[in-house]
Order: sequence, then structure tokens, then C-alpha cells
Amino acid sequence: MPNHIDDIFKAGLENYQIDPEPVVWSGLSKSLTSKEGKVILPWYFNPKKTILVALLVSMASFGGGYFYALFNDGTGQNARIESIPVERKVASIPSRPYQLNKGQLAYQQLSDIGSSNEESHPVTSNVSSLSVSEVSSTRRSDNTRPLNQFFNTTSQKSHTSQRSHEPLLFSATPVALLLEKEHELSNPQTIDVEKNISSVLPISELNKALNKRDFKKHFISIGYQRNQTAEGRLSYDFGTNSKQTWSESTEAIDVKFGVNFTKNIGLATGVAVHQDHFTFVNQEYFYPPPGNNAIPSEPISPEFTYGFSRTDLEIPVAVRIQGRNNFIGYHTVTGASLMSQIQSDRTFSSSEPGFNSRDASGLQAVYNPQGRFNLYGSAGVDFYLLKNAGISFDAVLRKRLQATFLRNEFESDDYVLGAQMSAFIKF
Amino acid sequence: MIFKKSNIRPSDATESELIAGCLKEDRRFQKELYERYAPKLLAVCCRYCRNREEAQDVLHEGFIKAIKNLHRFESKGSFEGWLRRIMVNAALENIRKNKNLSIVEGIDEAEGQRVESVALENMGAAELMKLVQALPAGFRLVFNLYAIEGFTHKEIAEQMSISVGTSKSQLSRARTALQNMIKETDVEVYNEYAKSH
Repeated sequence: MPNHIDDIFKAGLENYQIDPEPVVWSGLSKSLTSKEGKVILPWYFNPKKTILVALLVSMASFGGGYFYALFNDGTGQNARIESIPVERKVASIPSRPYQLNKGQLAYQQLSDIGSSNEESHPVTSNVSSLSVSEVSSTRRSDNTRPLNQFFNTTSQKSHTSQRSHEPLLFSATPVALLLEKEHELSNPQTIDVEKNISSVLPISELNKALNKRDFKKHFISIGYQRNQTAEGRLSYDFGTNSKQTWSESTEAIDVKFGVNFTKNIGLATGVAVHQDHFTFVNQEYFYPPPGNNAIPSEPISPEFTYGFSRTDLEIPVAVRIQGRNNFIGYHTVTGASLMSQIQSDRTFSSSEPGFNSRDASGLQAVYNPQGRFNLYGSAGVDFYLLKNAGISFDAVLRKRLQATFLRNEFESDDYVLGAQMSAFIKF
Repeated sequence: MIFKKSNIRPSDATESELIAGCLKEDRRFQKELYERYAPKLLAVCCRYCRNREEAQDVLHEGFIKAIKNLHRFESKGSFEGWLRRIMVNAALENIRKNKNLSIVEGIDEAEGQRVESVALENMGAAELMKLVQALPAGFRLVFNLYAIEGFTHKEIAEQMSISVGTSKSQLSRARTALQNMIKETDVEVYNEYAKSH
């Protein structure tokens, strides 16, 4: 047995264990940082993350709009036309009296007609400017011909008097061809519209028409917007001795109207009514300093809940970049707005009935009654339910340049992320 | 935001898994860490404090420090030793805060004294703890650091901002005080024995 005093105490106490009282862990669990105990907010309540995401979305949308506008000079429309599936490869030529303006059929069009034909077609007399062999080559073995020939011929005025095989007075209109037309039209045939369609259709004209159709100078939208800027704050230290949490949310109904300068760029303005809700919960705790044997984290005040609401009027001005591809479109809006309070209200409640706020006078000044500027941007997707009307969904990022409410360290001159749903019409 | 919990059960976690769980701020692992080490650490705290309540406060402070500084722990040494060291530091800080450290200057030669006691032979850890807690703060501190934690006088002097001589003096006086208390206990034991026979 060790009898030296140090050894005795060391042997006796070195591995000694004392179970702590349960209250120690309960106090610790409130003091320790834990993801389980934290007020866990969605990622978009994290200002850094929301700014990053909003920047990426804005850049992508803006870049997409820029390049869409840059390269959308008809190329896209060509692609649209070329991608139209030809459901019926052949079409019947209606059987009706042949109408042809003999002076309008150009010789070069004749040369476009296929030359692989082996079958000859009888030509009887007076072909002034086209040899027999050339005429015979115009007859196609598959009884088809290019559509342009059909378009050009049927669109001309009637000239039925040339049906007799009299000599033509103009060299560019071969009689043999006219005879063939008559033969073909009197006997309904089929034409191949699949071949060489891109060279047949007047694409540039169609593109212009399509561009004109897509471009609407004005638009009006009515939307509902909900913004959420919430922050859970848990302070539990020697300094504050209190736990405070607060949250804020805003709802808005807006009417916007705008003018489009080009198909892709426009200016928007309007008016919005915002309803802001702000809740502040406060409870004081006793946290004893070291050496004090009192139970830590004991609430020493009722829980106060201050509720505030305010109504603001907002007038935005923004640049709008937009694009559309059939039934889906997109838009980005970047601008500024002026917001002004038109009404405010507040409520107070306590966990202890009948307990009045100790800070009633100070709470009156929570809301900033001054006019405030915002910078905002949104990016959204348009769904065209009708030809020029539909609904859109937006992500909205707002930077408040002045605080909407002021109370000690709680100044809401921060970023606010929201979502908006709108109905729009373009005209 | 979804917090993905570890698949490892905290009660089955090894020391390194426990540390990893605490580093992820998983409350379950924090609790397991507390439950595993708190009894030993509270005993350490008790040796430096006057009573259990004060020791629990020190444990509270020390544990928060340990969790916050867990990333600084290098797995080279003993984790329990690292925790004990944090608790000792928390206890020293507590003593400094409360300014209840009375240092008596002067050197008493008490080195090598041997204690022969009937009562001491039968004392359990709880009784020994009571004796230590009954020591004045300065004596208790130096005695703990030197006799139980294994610090040298030089280290104690640096830690407490006192001279090496003062540290030795405090230790000597602590031992003397303990011997006196043990003798008193011996007398009580003898008296009880005499009464019963």
C-alpha cells in the first residue's frame, strides 16, 4: 500500500468518476452549437447563397437573351420551317380548268424540271424556241413535278385561248410545256412536296411574317408575389441573457405594363401593393456567471411576441429582356423601385396573460416610414396558354437600399428572395 | 436544408467517429461524448473546486471549449488527456475569475513526508475528494497539479504566474494540511473504536 500522501491521493482520485446532474447536459445542449438545435432555414435564406444563385440565374438569363437576340435573325425561323414534318408526302392537284398566263412562265424554271425522264411526249407542231428533245425531257417518269411550278402556274391569270397549238409569240414559254400542263391538270396527278422544299417555299418572306407575328408591342401582367426574409436568432450568452427570434415575410399584388422596343427588349413599369408582416419574439433567460449555483437557462420573463404589419405602395421601372419559342418563353427583368408606406399596424402578445409590453413606445418606431428604394431583378419562364397570353413564374431578388424596419441590430436593408406568379397578355 | 445524419450509432462509435460526429455538430454525438467523459471530467473539476455545483459550472464551460476547439485536437495523443487538460484550464480560469486564490509565500520542507494512518487506509475516493476540496484554493490547486496531474513546479509556476518556490511552498503546506486532516480523522476513528470496545 502506498503511504506517500501524493501517491495515495493520486491512486484514489485519478480514475474517480462522479455522475453529473442532468441539468448540466440540459444547459450544455442549449449552449452548444448543433445542427439539430439550430433554426434550419432553406438555402435561399442564406444571403450569400441566394445572391450567388440569383447572379448565376440572371447571368444565364441575360446571356441567353443576348445571344438569342444576336442570332435570331431568321436562322431560328428557318430551323422551325425545316423541322416541320411533312405529313403527306404527295398532294393531289385539283381537277379544274387550267389557268396559265403564258408570259409568266420563265425558261429557267423549265430548266429546273428533272431531266432524267426517258419517256417522250409527242409534240406536234410549231415549237418556236424549244427543241423536241428539250420538251420531251420535261416529262417526268413519275408523273411528279416541283411545287414551284405548280405555284407559279396556278397563280397566274387565265389564258385558255392558247390551248390550240398555235405558235407562241414569246420565246420563254414553250407550247409543249403548256400542253403538258393541260394534260396533267386535266388528269389529276400527285406532286412530291418533300423534295427540295426548302428551295421552294419563300422562307425569307415567311420568316418576316413569323417575326412580325411574334412581336407584340405592349404587354400587361397581373401577379402575386411572396417574399420571405426570415432569420432565426438564438443568442444565449453572458452578454444578452436573452433569446430572440424574428421573421419577416411580404406579399404583393402587382400590375405591370410595358412597351417592347424590339422582339427581345422592352421597358416595364407598373404599381404594386406590398403587405409586410414582421414578428419579433423575445424571452429573457437567467444565465448565471461561473460560481453561481443557480440553474442556467431558466426563463425569467414571459415570452413577448410583437407582430407588425404594414402596407406599401411600390412603383417599379425595369428593363425587360424576353424571348419565345412556340409555347415557352422566358424573361428577365432588372430595375429599381420606389416604395412608400401607406398604412401600418402592430400587435403585442405575451405568454403571460395581462402582461404589457415594457417597450411600447419604442416599438412604435420599428417600421421605417420613409420612402425606400429597392433594386430588383427577376427571371422567369412564360407559358403561352393562348396565342399571346399565358402565365409566368418568376424568381425575384430584391435588394433594399433602406431598411423597412429598424430596431437595434435588426435592420432589414438586406436581400429578399421571393417567388411570383403572373398572368400576362401581349398585344 | 436537410441535415444528413450519420449512419453510425453514437453509442457504438469509436473515439475518432465520436470526434467526427461532434465536428459535424451532430447533437447525438455531442451527447454521447458528454456521457462517456463527463463523469471522469467532473471528478477532475471537483478536485479544483470547493463543491460539486461549482465543479459542474466548470464542467459546463470546459465542455463548451472542448467542443468548440475539437478541430484542434490532433489524434496523436490521448483524447481523454486532452479533455482533462481543458477541464484543468477551465478550472484555473474559474479560480482566476473568482479571485479566490490565496497564495502564501514561503517554503516549508515537507517533501518526502510519509503518512501512516488507519483512516487513510480505509478511505474511499469520495472521502479523499472531500479532503482535497477542504484545502484552501492555492493549496488545492498546486497539490492537484503536482501530485495528481503530474506537472512540475516550473510548469505550475508558469501556469499560475507564481515563482517555483511559491509553488513548492503551496505544495508543502497542502500536504501538511492534508496530514492534519487525516490525523483528525484518525482521532475520530480511534474514538469510535474505543467507544465500541
